[in-house]
Amino acid sequence: MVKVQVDDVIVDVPPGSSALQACEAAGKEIPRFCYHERLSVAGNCRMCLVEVVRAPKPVASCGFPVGEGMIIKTDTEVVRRARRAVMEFLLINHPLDCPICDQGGECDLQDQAFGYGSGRSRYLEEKRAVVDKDLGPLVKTVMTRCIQCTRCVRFSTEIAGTPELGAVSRGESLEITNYVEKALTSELSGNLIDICPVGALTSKPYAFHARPWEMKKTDAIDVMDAVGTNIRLQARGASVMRIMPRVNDAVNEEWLADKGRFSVDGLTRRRLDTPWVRVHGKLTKVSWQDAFVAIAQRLKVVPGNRIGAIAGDLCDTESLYALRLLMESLGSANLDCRQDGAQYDVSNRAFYTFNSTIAGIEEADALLVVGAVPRHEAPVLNARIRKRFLAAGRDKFPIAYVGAPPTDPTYDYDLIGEGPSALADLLDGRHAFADVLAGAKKPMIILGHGALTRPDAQAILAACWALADKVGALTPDWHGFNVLHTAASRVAGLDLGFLPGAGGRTAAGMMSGGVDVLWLLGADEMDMHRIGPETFVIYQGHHGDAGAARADVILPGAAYTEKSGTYVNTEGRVQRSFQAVFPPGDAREDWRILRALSETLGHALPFDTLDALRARMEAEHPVLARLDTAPRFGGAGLAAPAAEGAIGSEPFHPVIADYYETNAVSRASPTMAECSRVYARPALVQAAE
Amino acid sequence: MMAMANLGTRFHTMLKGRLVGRDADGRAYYESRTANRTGGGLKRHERWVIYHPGEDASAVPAEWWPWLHHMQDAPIPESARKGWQLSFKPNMTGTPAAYTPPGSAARGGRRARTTGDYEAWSPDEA
Amino acid sequence: MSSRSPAEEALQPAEFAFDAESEAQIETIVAKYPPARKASAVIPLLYVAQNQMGRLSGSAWLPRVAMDQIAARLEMAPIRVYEVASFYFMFNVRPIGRYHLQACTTTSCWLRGSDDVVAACKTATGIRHMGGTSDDGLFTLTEVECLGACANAPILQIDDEYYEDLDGPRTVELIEALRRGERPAPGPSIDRMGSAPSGGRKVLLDDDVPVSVPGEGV
Repeated sequence: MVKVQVDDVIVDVPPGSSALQACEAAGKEIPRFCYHERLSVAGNCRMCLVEVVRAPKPVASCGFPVGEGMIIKTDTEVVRRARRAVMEFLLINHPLDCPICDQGGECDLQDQAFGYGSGRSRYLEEKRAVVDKDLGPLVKTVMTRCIQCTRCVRFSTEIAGTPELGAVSRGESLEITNYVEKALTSELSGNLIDICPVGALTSKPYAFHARPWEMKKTDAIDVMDAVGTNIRLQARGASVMRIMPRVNDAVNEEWLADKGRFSVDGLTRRRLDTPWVRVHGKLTKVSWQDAFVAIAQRLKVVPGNRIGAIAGDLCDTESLYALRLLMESLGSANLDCRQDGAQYDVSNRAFYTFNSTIAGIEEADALLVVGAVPRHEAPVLNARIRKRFLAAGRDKFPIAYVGAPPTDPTYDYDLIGEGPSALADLLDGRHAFADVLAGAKKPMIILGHGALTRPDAQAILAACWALADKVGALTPDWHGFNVLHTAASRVAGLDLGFLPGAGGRTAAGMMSGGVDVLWLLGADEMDMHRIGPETFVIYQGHHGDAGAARADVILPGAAYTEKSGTYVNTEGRVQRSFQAVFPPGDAREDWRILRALSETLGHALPFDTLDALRARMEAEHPVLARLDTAPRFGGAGLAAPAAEGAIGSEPFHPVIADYYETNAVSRASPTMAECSRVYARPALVQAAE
Repeated sequence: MMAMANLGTRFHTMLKGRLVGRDADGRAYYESRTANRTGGGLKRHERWVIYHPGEDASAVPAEWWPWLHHMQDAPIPESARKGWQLSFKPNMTGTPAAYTPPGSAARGGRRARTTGDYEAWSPDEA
Repeated sequence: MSSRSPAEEALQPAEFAFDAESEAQIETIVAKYPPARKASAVIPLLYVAQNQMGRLSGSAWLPRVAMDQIAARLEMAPIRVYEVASFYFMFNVRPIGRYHLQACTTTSCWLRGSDDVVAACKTATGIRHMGGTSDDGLFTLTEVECLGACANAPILQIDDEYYEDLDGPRTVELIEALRRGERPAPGPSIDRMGSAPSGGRKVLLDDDVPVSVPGEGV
């Protein structure tokens, strides 16, 4: 540790820290524009100037390494004058358009101009104007506001791994551009808006909608993928205006994937706001009571084993639990939370979670991806893989894919096979990558749903486990076997046992006439035509999508922004999300609907409040009571999952064809539809040719 | 009398305190007999209140609040109370009487439509 | 629109391929760098591409497809190549005339009459403003900073050659010669050898006398 004195405070910082980090450790706030904790140091804004004793002039603290006994002064007249001068230069070409700028109120330049800005300009020459760039449907540019901090260039190069932005030309004509008028191709492009310290890059869909100080902020969890990204919902009045990431170094650092950020306008469209009942083949608006009566009448004549329930991908754990209890009280064992037909071994939680943990990726030294496309299935997790790839250095973090990724995964990789036969090669040691994995101290295997949704999923799972065991990925202090989920509700469903009970039918069995009454809890990602015409379908959910169109009774529920809920991410991390706004119209929180209906059916569920529900759920499933932790545990000494059947030879196919439209909320979003048109459709058309 | 106070506070009140007065609800306000505290650069009397059981600090009425916080030398008399001043209501958070915004299920789950509100789905569009 | 911004889509050729001559040059250039650091070869390769464009099309500039080619060869992101190409004034990211007139207007040249040289360039070619190309497409006039040949001010650099000690009439003459397809010899346009004094030697006229320099032995 190096001892540094900052003003009057003496701090110990690790060697190699910058002066700015020492100042932060001492609790001194240093103004900055170009410096960002998670990006490389550029040192081009000069705002972070401090005085170092015995240095001849002020130094830029972000790029100045500390030395033993260094004395830093952060608040002297020299420093203040230097920062004022820097600010004056920055403001020379910056337009005075704060009143019409979306960054107003959360602008670093605006905030710091309060401290260091001059009240008037001495600049009489012509100001510079820069042509705006077209960066696609998500990021709006007003390039005249740009102060050339190059945070966006570094973000797209380092974090997103799509080096498309650059600083072209020089001197006064320097511009941030992608040179070609082309939309950004990153699934993380929304984060450019957050890291831009001024209003040069702002959100296009949110342009001119609201001001930051008007909004009520609520902490929540993103449900667009299974990463469990920590988000902050910003609501004004009755609607969520925008979604921004929260810092959680264990999960998402401070990034948020575009689908989670920009699907927000889908939350106010195609909403189910009233119960519907199909009368003579036509859906009719009814009251809650009438809807319940219609269900009760139908259920009266159906035996318990002819009732089934399928849960969708966006459900909170509480409603899954309530529905499971209701089904059990009706005498049904037909439960399934796997609408995509995936197969798991639920005998041990380690067989279906991401055991290395997301933060653990940064310790791994070899990676095998089997039947997964992390870039589309979990963009933020993919950024963590890229972070590890860059930090490890050349050839120190070898990555191999089984199953070709449809796009550049943003790091170097070896493709060692299109189908699962490559696993056999690895197990036999015939492929050279088996030695790479065996030679690594902390190898990782990520198993995705491209593999788990196949008929031979159990065998592939067992083969991956065997491989992990063989290459030493399962040791007392390292667990290198990981399942990457794509559905936010899946791990919770598996934890709760929302699966076929004894004699129960799977989702496919229920759809093909196995039940007479089918309850769809937000389940839309299935081919509804496979449900027989005589099956009575109850759809409980928040969006009018495939499920609602097929339903005989629709019960309007709450979207993830409209209810307090618990979500379990792919690591098995239990996180709680809070209610930001109320459900529209007559829609209600899902557990409340189930509780009310259970009373009508004469099987009243044993709780009246959400707290009582949670207490009961946590007593029954203690794993759900461990909030915000994903305990790291070694993988040694575990029995292997059951191997059933033989491995097929068909190549792996990605489970996500169009990243921007994977669930009812994103399909209702005009922004996501536009992204799909710009990004996914051309690729789909090409793939079809 | 001495309704809510632990033993230490009671001794302190007995030994050092001088009863200044009571508010309309009967809470007792004390001042130390000697100017034993420094505040605002001056030696001054310590001032404290004995609450009713279970109350939090928001229970001090407006008449006594400035005196208690050394903003005024004497409490405002009850007679100065205006007709539009509401009587004190304790903080109800965490109780069934807690504030719920319009639209909450606890208030019937109905809220007025607002601008920029949602678009409802209808079976015809599917 | 600055002269450093890329050319419009309509001007961009659809494709670009290095010819045999360029390939030979690239081979020697890339061999100089370790394989893991081959991105270092970007500036020489940009020159190769620009020269090939000049050789084949008569306009030495860098179309985007050429920069994409270089990026692919050196395994770098295309934007990194655009950044380099647009940073240096030696690379033209927009089409130019067959002859690139680069007039130095920095202090030394300006004091020695670069205004006359610029004016002569404009009248002889019909170019109206700096950065413009003549209507016949033969000449592009660019204002450049110090070319480091102040002893021979004013300077006009044409493509890679320095034409020195110019004045208005001699500039016009030079341009007319280029228009006729000639390439006058580069160097001083007056009676002078390199940076030696004009009109012959001014000192050491007597070669036979031994020279004594103060502070040194004879």
